[in-house]
Amino acid sequence: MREVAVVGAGMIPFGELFHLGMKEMIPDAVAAAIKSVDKGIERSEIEAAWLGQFQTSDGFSAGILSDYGALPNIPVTRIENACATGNDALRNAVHAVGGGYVDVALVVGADKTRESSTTATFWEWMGLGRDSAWDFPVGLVSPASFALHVARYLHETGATREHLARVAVKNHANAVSNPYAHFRFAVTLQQVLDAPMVADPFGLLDCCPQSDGAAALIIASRDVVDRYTDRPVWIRGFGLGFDRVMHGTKADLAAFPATRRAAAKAYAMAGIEPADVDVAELHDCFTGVEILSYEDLGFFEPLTAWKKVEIGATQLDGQIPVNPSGGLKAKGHPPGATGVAQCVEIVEQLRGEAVNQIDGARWGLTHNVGGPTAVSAVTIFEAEHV
Amino acid sequence: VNIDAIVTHIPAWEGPRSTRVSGRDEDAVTLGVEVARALLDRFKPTVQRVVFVTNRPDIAGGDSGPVIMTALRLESDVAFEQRLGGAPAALEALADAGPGTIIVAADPGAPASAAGALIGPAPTAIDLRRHYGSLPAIVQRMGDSSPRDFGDPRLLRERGTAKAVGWLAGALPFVVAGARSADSQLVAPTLGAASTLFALATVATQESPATIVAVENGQGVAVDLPAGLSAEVVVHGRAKTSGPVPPVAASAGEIPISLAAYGRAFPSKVGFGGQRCTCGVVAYPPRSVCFACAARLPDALEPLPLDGELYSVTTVHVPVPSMPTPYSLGVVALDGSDVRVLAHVTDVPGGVTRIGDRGRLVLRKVAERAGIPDYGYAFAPEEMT
Repeated sequence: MREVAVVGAGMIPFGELFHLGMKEMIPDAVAAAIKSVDKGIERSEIEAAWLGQFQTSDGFSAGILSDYGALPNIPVTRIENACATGNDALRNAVHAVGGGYVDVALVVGADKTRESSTTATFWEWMGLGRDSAWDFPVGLVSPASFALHVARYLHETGATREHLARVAVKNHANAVSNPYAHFRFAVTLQQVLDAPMVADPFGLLDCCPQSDGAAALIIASRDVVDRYTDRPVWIRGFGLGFDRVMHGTKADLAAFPATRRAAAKAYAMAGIEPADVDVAELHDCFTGVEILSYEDLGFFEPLTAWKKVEIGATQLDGQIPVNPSGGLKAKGHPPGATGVAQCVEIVEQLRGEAVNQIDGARWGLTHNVGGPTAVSAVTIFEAEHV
Repeated sequence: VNIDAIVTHIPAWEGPRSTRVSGRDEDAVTLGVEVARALLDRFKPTVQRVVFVTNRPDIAGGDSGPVIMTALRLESDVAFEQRLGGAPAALEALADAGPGTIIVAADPGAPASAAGALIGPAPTAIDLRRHYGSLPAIVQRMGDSSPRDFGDPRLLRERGTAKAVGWLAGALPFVVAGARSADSQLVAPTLGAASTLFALATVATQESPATIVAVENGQGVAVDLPAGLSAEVVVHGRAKTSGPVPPVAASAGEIPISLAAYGRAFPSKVGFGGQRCTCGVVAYPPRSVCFACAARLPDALEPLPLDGELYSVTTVHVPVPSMPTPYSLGVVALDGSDVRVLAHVTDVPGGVTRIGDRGRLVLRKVAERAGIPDYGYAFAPEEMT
């Protein structure tokens, strides 16, 4: 298996992009990734593409990447794996490059969640991915699906909504300086606690927005990497893990076992320990999910992470900075693009050019957890030179 | 007459003038199952026939029979009969009933109530039955389901109810079901089919013979009952009301549900049954292969315990199409079982239940797809005493 590195990474600002369709967002993200390649790259050098998209809108999406991305001569494969779509699209591309089938591949993530009315047809958009016999009819909407985990976590640990709110405060603060973030404003602890309830224990400011957006990566094998950059970011490990699909069958709601499985694979492949990670982009679709994920990823012991939140252990100046981009919470969450955009942030961090730069970061980690909390993807990156 | 037991039930929700009304997830079917389940659990009878009486059939030509019989987990050779009508129809059903019959009468809506009677093994002996009919019914159901109402309650009272009661009542003390009557001591919560069984509950505890006069729409039937029925009467339902029915979200649309998917889930979802693997693991919802040992699972379902406690719970406050807001959703750990069940919380307002609360899983109308009901189980917390 060959080593694989990211040589280009770019994205478009996330937000309610009513003025942009998939046909505009995808080519813009691809252009941003191409532009970021140090020594330049021609479209003709890209041999294959993977597109992460959760739900189609604007038509046949693999074809849109081929046609509107002006890449007519290469295979394009669409990947859908719920909220783990972005990191899983990368994993599939790495298989092809690492396996020696292609030298240079493109990974794009894109979604438009704001393509339908929030009052009515959003439910149609959402419902397509749900179990329609057992789960969705009783009202297991996405916030409730995660809230059942976090409510149990609070019950078992004694943590409170204030601990959740601290995550929102941190991630909003990080997003203020991020030009790609959907929510570029700070919030106070009190504002988070006072926001209207969505699904107990999540208030409105505990929830990520529904965003539109796209992001792209260009990856290359060690054999050709020198053509493109002298500072590649190596993909050292990845894992995709699952948990039971239905909430009644999940053994432990105070955790996300899918993440534990994905992380174990990724750490073993990279040959590092959780303590080696210098900076991470985690799946904070809801604030509490970030806290549980600290534990699932091994940053802190089970049922203790909430205490670390009290001392700011995951702030920019903390023991392990998490979501310097603002995370899903403030940067935004277009599901297919989310994981790819996390990778864009980590690539910038490991190249020393991020907006909220973590000095000397060598190891970076990205993480998604989703579906009915049943799938997780983890990717581990290493900087070439520190 | 050999009437072993009578269960009367009122729903949790409060209507005008201290009445109880059925919740959004209740209908004639779920109310009927509620009282029949109470009879079955308490008296464990051998049942040969279930007679379901209502004048407000939610699904007259649909699957009320399969839903009720699947939910009651009765053997497939038990007969099911549905009778359309109010108090007189329920009284006729009682008079017709043979040994091993459960009569269930349900009056959903506002007000709402339900009641059930269990006919014991001895032969029934009601031999004095009288009928009366004069006034054209002032409320009629035509081809469609919406009733046509002539709209003159005084005409009904003077020319219908009063004449019927006068003609039908004999020398014995009597109770009137199906109409308010100054002559009768019965105060039933509703005036439909269930009121006959509420009347029976009154008579069954008396030492002297009595007549039940059941009227509806100017028609009626009367039955004389002997003294000393000595049926056991069980009052079911919450002692305290949970307040008014929570309003439904104003949001448009409905959550999409596949009827085909509901059909596949039906035996397990309505019968609340799981598959037991040879390795001992119980699967719910059903699946083809055991998660623990990958063995092929049997099609046969074993009934799951209905009691349990909340392992986790959340309350959704944002508008969700067709859901009352706020609503609570929990994962229930069943007593004496490793099975946990995702269910909405019912019979109490959203947001009042906590992890660790105990309660019972009850059949409810979970959702509708294009107006077609989708039945499943909801968690009804124990009433705080």
